[in-house]
Amino acid sequence: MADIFKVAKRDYLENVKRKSFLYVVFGLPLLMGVIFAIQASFGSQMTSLQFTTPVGFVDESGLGFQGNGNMTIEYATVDDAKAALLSQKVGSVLVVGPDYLANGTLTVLVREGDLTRTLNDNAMQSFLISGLVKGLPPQVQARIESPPSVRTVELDASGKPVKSNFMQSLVATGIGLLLLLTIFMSSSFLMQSVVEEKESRVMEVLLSSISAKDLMAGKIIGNGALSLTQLIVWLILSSVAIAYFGGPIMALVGAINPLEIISPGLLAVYLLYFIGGFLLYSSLLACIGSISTSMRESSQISAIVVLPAAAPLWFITVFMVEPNGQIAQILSMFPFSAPLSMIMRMGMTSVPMAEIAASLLLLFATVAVSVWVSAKLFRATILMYGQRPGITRMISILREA
Amino acid sequence: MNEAVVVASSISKSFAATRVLKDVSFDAREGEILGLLGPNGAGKTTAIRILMGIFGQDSGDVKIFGKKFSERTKKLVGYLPEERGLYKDSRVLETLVYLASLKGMPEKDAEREGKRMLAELGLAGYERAKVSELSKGMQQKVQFIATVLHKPRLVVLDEPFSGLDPVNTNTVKNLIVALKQGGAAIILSTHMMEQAEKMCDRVMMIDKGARVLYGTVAEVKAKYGKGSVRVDYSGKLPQKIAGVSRIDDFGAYAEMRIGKGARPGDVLRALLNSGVDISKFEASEPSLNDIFLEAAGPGSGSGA
Repeated sequence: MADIFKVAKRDYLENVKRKSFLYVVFGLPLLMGVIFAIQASFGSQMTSLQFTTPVGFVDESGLGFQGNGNMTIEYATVDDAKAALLSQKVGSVLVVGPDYLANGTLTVLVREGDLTRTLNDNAMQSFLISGLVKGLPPQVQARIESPPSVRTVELDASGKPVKSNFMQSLVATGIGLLLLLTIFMSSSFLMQSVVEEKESRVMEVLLSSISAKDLMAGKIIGNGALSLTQLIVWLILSSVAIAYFGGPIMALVGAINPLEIISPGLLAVYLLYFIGGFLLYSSLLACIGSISTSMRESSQISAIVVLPAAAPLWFITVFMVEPNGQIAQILSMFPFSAPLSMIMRMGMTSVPMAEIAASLLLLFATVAVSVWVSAKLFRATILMYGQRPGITRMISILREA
Repeated sequence: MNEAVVVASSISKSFAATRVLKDVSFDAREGEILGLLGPNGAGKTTAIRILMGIFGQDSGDVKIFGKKFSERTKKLVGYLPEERGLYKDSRVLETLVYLASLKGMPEKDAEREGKRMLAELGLAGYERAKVSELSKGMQQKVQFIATVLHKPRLVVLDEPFSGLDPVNTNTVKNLIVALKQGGAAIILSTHMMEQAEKMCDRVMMIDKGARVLYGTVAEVKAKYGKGSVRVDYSGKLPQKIAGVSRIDDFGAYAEMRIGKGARPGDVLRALLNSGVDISKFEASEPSLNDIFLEAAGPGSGSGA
């Protein structure tokens, strides 16, 4: 036990000082802060970004469209409009033909090589609508001109509104991704340290002092503590940020305070997925480190294992549309993709308790198998230099165990 | 006789279809250096790794301090592997303290002893240097300190002299002798026959996984008889000399094994007749190097 602690302590202290660790732990929040700051100061300008050159139009339909300000200048004939276009008085010309009402077709004229100036759909839409609705009661006009503001109320089984919205699912996806990032960073540190000890031949000295099992356990615990440190730093930084700048930022991006969404129960489930995911991936990557012959080889092999963890992201739209659908269900049961999938789903909808329990059970059962297999392979292959054991050799190692 | 610290009885080990060790038995005793000799690939490192519990033997029995190898006995052993290395980016004293602490030495003691030994080996002032900043010879010395810092009662050294210059070889040699005088049992695996001959109380030679020689240096030499001559010469040595069964020619110095029935005088006469200029001629017992070549060389029928 003492040996495990010594190894854990060393791995923790070595990695916590690494530049790459510090970059991610402090650099990532800094980057996000900068992005928020930019949004906060330029946000209003961004939303009103439009072409500043006026747009001309020719009304041949007789519907009586009217220009508004600089943005729409009316010309009597197409030729006049063409002349204005070529002399660069307007950026483009919209020609509303005589049979527009019958078939809805329009013509837009732009200068050669200037196709990007094709009229902005929304601007054209509102211009056309404001022409078409003339004569209708003003309230109806207003309803037609300005888009509806939709408020979705989701009801749970008892008919009470569920506190859920789009931002909440984004927050959940974000948290899931951060957890995944943390898991992979510390697992890959673990793998690196195994390969490093193997390449530098320190491994043999270590194994003549302590058991392979203790070495691996110490590394997993040390790097686990490392990733917890990372999460705690992020939690503190984000709490501080929300406390100081939370109100204006949330108002600006239209989000709700993430701390209000996350209940202690939810936090506990997140923590379980985090621990399970970490143990699964760290034991696998430790094993990959022990069977590889070089750092490059180990990162190539580990990429294959890492891929399924991010699978839920490929299906993010499916998750949003049907968070309790089949794909979402399967991905949240499959242990390798479960942590991110379930955290995402739980942010989007209410997932039945039984499903969460089953998914966690599967995850931890896989962790048990993975730790056992990795410990065996680790011990058997750690001192093989320059040769990577084949699949058959690995299977026979596990059989002998 | 000193107490046996290691007793290995008929250990065998195979990797896949290859038998790397065949029924090898030996012991190592307190206050004694046991030389483990043999050509590359003879099975020395395998034997050592079995002793260290890095992997198990297929058959046979190993007792260390009278017990089966366990995590507890590991702490009493100091091991310098042939394939050696240290954490490149860690600091010297930090590394020493970490490795000693894994052997169960309190960190404070390790720090004090580490500093003392670094100074003793001329590395004072390098405590906070990174390992990668040291020369190869310095790294070797640090590694040696890491092996013995926790004052092990059994020290296993796999090629401790490889890569060392004469000055450092001498330093390490003195350290090994001091350990022996301090009562530790030492197993020394080496190719350097001259060192082995001078340092080892007993030697075991293995070739192709089998034990071919075992005993005190005197016993081993006695078994091979007195029939060797050493010659300092200039000129060109004839390829064949009457009465000589094997010549180990160094260019200006040669060791020759005398065949059955021949006498040193016959060899001297043949040499003088061949026109070689001889400045020194000595009838002697064979050196360990001679014996090594004879037991494991190409002419032995076992190959190397």
